[in-house]
Amino acid sequence: MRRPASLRSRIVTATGLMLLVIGAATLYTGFATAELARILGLLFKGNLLMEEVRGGLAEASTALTGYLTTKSSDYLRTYIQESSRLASSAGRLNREVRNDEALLLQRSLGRLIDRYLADAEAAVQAKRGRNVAAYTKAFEGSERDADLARGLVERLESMNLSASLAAYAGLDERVGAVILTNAALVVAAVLTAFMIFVRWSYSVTGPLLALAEAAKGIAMGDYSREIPRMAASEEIATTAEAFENMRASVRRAFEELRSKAEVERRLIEEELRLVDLDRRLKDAELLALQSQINPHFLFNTLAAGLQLSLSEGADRTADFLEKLAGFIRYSLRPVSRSVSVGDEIECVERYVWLLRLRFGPRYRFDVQAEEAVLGQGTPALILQPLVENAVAHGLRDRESGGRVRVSARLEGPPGESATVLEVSDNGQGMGAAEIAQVFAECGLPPDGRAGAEGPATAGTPPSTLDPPGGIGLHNVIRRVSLATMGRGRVEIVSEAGGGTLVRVVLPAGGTAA
Amino acid sequence: MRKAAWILATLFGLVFVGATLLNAELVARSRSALAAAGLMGAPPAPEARFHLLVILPDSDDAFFTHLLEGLEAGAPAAGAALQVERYAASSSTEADRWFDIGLRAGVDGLVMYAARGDDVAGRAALAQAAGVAFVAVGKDAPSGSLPCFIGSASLIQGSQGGALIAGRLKGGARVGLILPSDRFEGPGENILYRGVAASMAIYSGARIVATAWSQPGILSGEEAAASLLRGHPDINAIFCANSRDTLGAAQVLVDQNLVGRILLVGADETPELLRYLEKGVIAASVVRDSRRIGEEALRAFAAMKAGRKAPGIVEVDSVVRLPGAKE
Repeated sequence: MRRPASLRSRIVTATGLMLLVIGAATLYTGFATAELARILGLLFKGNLLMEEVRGGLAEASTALTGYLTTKSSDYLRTYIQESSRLASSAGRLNREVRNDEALLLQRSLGRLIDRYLADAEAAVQAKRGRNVAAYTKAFEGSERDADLARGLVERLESMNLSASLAAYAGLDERVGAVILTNAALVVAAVLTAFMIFVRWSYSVTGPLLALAEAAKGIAMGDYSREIPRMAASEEIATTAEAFENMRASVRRAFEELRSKAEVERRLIEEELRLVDLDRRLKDAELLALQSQINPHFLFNTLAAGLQLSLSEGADRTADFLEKLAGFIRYSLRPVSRSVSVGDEIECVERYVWLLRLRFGPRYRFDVQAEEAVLGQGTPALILQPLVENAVAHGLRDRESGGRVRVSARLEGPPGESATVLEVSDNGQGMGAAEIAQVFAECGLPPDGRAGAEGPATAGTPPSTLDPPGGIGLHNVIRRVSLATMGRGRVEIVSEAGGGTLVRVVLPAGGTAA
Repeated sequence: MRKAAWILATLFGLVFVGATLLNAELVARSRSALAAAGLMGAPPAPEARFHLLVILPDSDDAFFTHLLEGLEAGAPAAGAALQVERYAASSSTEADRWFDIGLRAGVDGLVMYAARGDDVAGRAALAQAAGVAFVAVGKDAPSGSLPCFIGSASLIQGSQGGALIAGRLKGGARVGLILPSDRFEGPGENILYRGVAASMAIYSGARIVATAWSQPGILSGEEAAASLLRGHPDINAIFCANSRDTLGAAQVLVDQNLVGRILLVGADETPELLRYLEKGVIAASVVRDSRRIGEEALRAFAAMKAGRKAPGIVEVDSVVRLPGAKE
């Protein structure tokens, strides 16, 4: 790429151009004026000579007359001076015989003046010799010569003037046009020089203004605007380039700082999360210790109650305590374990037995499971919370006729069949918004289908340390999703007043301990 | 901005070129005009051996026009450069002044018109004393001894005109004469008058009824002709002594519808006069050969400068120009 010229050379070039334009116009008009002056001088050259001759004749004649009448040396000196001047003027007159009327007139005039000077000189000499008759005659002769010469001077002046006027008449009409054109030339030169100056100043100040704008932008913190390459001059291009480099460097530095700040922020957040996790872990540990203490106490108490009821022959109470103890034992095991559908069904049946004891004929419970599904794996405590929800929420306001149905079956072709667990009730049901909220709380779309990464990436993960009795629907949804790596799903089919069906679909081989 | 700069630069260039061309044209024109006026650059006028001063009356008479043409035609052969000076025809002082200038300036020769009454012999003597070749030219030879006079003879011009009129009108010719006003003479003293009268004398009854004198000026001939016709209605022929008066009289005949009724015989020839001649307004013109007078004058001057004897008095013949006749 061609490197732009330096600012100095640009200034020199622009100034030179301006001077060239104005100088050309000035020189041109100067030459034109000089030519015009020369022409005018030539026009009046002849008349100027005639004026010299006329003046010389008059001065010489006056001096001669003065000398002859007074014999004053002053007059004589003047006469000598004037006659010399007259002779000099006469010497410039034509003396050759040429076929030109004006030249022949000049010749006649020149010879007349010669004769005048001769007669005048004779008169002076005669006066010095005191020869009155001779100087009188010579003086008269000189007077006649002077008189005739003056006539010729007038004639020549007239001829010269006519010739000059004739020559000038041809020029006059053109002179006006030339003066106008020369004036236009000067105006055009000034305008052109002005435009060169303006153009040059724009070319210099334009990039500087762009630089100033860019600097202002940077001062305001806008580092995104790139400074264009300047072709104005070497200095400005260099400055712009340096400025652009500086802008880019500052921008890079800022980006690095911003990036570092982001990393630091993330680190702090991670640290805070770790602190929170740590706190939660401690809470969980405490809770676990507490859980380990309470079940022992509870089992010992229940065992004592069972022994007591057996010793007292209260079989029904003994059954109650046995089933309650079995249910609690199942519930207190870690919820993250995988169990068989048969275990889960057995747990539900114990829970239902307790509920029947509690609600009597008010609610009817029905638990059905296909034989084939009992060996399939499932996360623990899936069905019990759903039954608890159906009773606590679905049938809450129902005084009688409440029904809860639990079923387990396989669906799909053999080898790829999924385990389907269902809990349905004929309670008050759920609205679509309510269902969507349930899924939203689990970080799932309204249809409950999780993405490949599972719901752990969205929403706040529910606590896994909730007590067994408090495991809610969203806890079930969450655990199904975690246990099946997002491949299992929970479906809720319900409408207000139309009961609720919660279906848990577990893909074949889809649960993990 | 760049575009405007280019437009202005182009404009400046155009104006610059235009101004240059205009100035160049002005300079060329001025040089041409100055050269034409002899103020610069003109090739020097051709050199000649002799400075010849020609002194003629300032008259619009074709006689002098042709005389000058003859002088200019003869000048190269004589090796003379002509300085022609005109003086008012009514002022002999001015003629004398030029004569004096010629002598005092020491010109090589003088050709001077000799009007009636001029002291031509005295001038010739003064010129001879000053060593200046002197040639007098004119219409009629002046009295006195002259070394050189070249002219036409008014007597012959008059007699040729008179004979022409009398030949046409016979004894019934009643002629009106228009003569240029001359100094010191009445009709009887006028040589041309005498020539006309003499030629008509052979026809009994033919006579000159009246003479009118024309003054210098282009309308003078017209005035004189009108005056003649007004004062003498019986005039049936007019004879004029010069071309100017002839044209004036022809104008009067046309204006008064007298063409064909009055026979007009004129003098000399000009393009306009020849046109009237061809139209029949003018019957004939007695042409004095003043061009030849000029040529003869230069020939005489050359002879004198060559040291040969001056030719003395030379009278050049007149010719009668008739309609349809080629020169």
